[in-house]
Amino acid sequence: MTWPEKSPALILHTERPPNLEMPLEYLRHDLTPNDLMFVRWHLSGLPRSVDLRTFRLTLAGHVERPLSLSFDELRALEPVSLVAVNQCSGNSRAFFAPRVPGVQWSNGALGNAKWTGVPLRTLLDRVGLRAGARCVTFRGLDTPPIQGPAPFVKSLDVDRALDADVLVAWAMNDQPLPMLNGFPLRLVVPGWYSTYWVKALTEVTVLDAAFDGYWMAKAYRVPATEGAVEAPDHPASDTVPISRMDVRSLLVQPESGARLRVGAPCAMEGIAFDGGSGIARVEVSVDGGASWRDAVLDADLGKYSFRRWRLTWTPTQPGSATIVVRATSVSGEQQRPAPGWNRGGYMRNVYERSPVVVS
Amino acid sequence: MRARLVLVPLALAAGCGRHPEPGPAQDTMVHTLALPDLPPPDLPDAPGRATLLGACSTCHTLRYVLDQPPLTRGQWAAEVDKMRHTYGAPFPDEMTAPIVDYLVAVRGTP
Repeated sequence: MTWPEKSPALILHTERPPNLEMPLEYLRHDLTPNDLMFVRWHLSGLPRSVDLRTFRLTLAGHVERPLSLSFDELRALEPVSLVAVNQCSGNSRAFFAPRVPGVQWSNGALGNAKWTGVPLRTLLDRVGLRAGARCVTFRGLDTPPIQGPAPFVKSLDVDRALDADVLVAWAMNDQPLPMLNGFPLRLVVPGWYSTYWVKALTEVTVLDAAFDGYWMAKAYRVPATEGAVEAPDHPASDTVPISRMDVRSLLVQPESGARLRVGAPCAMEGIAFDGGSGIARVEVSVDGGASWRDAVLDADLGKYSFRRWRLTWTPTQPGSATIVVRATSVSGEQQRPAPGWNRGGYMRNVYERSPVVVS
Repeated sequence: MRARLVLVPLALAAGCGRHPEPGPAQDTMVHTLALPDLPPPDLPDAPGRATLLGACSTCHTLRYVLDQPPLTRGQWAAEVDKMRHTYGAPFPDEMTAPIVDYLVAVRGTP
């Protein structure tokens, strides 16, 4: 199966609209190659053609001077680059128990890339927010397949929208965005789940009221509880829009169920990231969590990037073993020892556990 | 920041016949997306299958059904209700029951 600009290694969840997952092994790149970045669309009417001669990014609404920019005009502005993890809110949903509906992602609805573009703040400064501006909405070129009330529109509060690190990106890893990842422009909200990273961004609208569109008011909401956790038989009554990513780590090698040998060094490795403070520490246990050792962290590519880690383990006795990994962020946030649950299958950040067999 | 790894996405070069390098002079002005034409998913036979195909496949692939874990009748009913009332799926109320029955039959909790 061939998806344009995409590796055949991607795992198919659905084809209309496309939802494609990256196999975990490709987290061994510092930066996820563009053809391996996961693909997630909500509405079947995704853009099939973009003509840069007519494409415009508009900024309007509660502003002093509405603006319409061509792709070249936008790209002529002073660009900035940052490395950031792009992770779906529902990454790892398939591991929730009890199971919940939604695309059944394993751990591969994430990637790490260098994003280049113009700070949204630069554009908002140019149009001038009028007094009383409260939030900013973002709409892409994708459309519902039939006339319906739920075009994909997301919003950020003005304070978040004015953060200097929020970008209108026109390049991913120094290349144009693949069509399936949002060509020609994508909103990048580093540290926050990619539901906000609107693809094929074409309309930015400032509102003087809260935004109550479906994709904020009904979808992508999490319990307003510590860690966004609720009990399956006692759903939380209060929910809030999902936002910042929680801290988590993943084990990439050895794979679950791997067979190791006594006396043979095993090069363990993986990644860790959080919602924008950076990773301070990754610890690994090879005895199911009874004792822990610090992993060695690779180079720091920036506070929004994932951080690769490594640790060598030479098993000394045969039998079953469980590798456990946990990360601590620079801000002091830690992962959950036991899984949390919510009805949307969002924000999984339990310690990673992986069984192996030593012989 | 550490120097960027050189990771050239091969599919860019091989897949779609346009230049991957940024820069106005090298960009093709019209970018298109040719989606692959996959065979329809192989949905198990059970009562309600034809109703489901008629009501749901207008808007999305039914591979969504096969991607789902076993869900309760209540969860499936909520999904179907969401499709009608939130996404505006244009099927009448009397088609709801056979669709939910089918979903429970093929992806219901034991």
